[in-house]
Amino acid sequence: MGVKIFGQYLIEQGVVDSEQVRAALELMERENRSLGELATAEGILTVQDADKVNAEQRHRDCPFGELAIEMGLISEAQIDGLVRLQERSRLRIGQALVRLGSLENERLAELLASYEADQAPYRTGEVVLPDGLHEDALAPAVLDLFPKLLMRIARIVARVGTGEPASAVPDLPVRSAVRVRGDASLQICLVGDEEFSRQLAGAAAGIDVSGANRERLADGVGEFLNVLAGNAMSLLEQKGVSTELEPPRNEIEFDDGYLFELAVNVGSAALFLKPL
Amino acid sequence: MSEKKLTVLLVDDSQVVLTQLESIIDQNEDVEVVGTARNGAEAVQRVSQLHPDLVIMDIVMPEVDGLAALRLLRANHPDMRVAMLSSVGGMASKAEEAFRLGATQVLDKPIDAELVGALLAQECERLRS
Repeated sequence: MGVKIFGQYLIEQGVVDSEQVRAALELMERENRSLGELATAEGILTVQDADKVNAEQRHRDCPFGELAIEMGLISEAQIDGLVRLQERSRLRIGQALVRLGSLENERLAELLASYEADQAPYRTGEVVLPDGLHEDALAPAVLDLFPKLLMRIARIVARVGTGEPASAVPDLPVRSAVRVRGDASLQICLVGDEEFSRQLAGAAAGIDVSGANRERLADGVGEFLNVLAGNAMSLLEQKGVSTELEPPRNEIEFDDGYLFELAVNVGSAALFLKPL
Repeated sequence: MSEKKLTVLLVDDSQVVLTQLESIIDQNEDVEVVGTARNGAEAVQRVSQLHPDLVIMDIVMPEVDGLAALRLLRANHPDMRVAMLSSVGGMASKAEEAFRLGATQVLDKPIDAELVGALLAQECERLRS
């Protein structure tokens, strides 16, 4: 039950094991090309120009294509063409498992259909908020940005489940939080196991955290939350909503909030939002 | 005799950010970290003791935040070079205020090592000219 990626579903169903999924993900990583890579492969952008767009993307929540257009490096029609090409050529996990001989091609369609049915309650085109968060201006931005930043900063794939009222979080060892106050107020907490937290903290802080203790990992994860909150606050400020960010907190109250289950490709984690 | 090194004070409440900045600066032999501080009040005190050439300081910190500390530094050390770091750098209200207070630069988080390197090179050049 709950949100999961197709690989997790297949493991749960006993169709493949985690090593096979890991191998499939590695194959996808090798074969799937980013928009920037496709643009350079097609001769539309130079490698230097693509690097400039990638560098700018580290600081702005803006898709590659949108930024490249804004920087005057590419036309809208060229981006549309590249997106179509990317979609056509993208290797997905099911196909990767078939290619590696871990899954029979004949079973793929049937398994995808059962996966879609399993995940239907969680899949939406827009951010869905639980009743208690409808009035909060910050929550939609945080939930929308969270998976994007997680991927962009730490290369972690995440799907965010539907939030449920909760007074406790999963018993995971690394816990961090930030608080935003002002016209919109929210406490954003992230809890994770060591595997998830190590990858996120290392990427967010740009240092080797392989020997770091939990407190240090929480510090690094707190930096990610800082960036997440800062980006969400920036979007809100453009709409005239004024907020202030408090420093990351490691001592957190988990009462009267909303727990969002996360399906991640590295370890396990959960997001907890608490209106203030 | 070797040229004078650029001396830097690092200010952030996050130890991992301080470590990251130190590791970036370690790669530049013309730059030396002379101290660190974990909030704005400590930063003001350390500047008076250490007289660094450059302060790299976070905006969001406990007790005295970066913008308040920058205001205090400006009052007592009007020529001090201060670069701000921030996850809220995308907020015009923060970035504009930092520039208004005389920040040399406002660098977004997560930290981009290349941008910090460029800042250090520019400040070294300035020190020598």
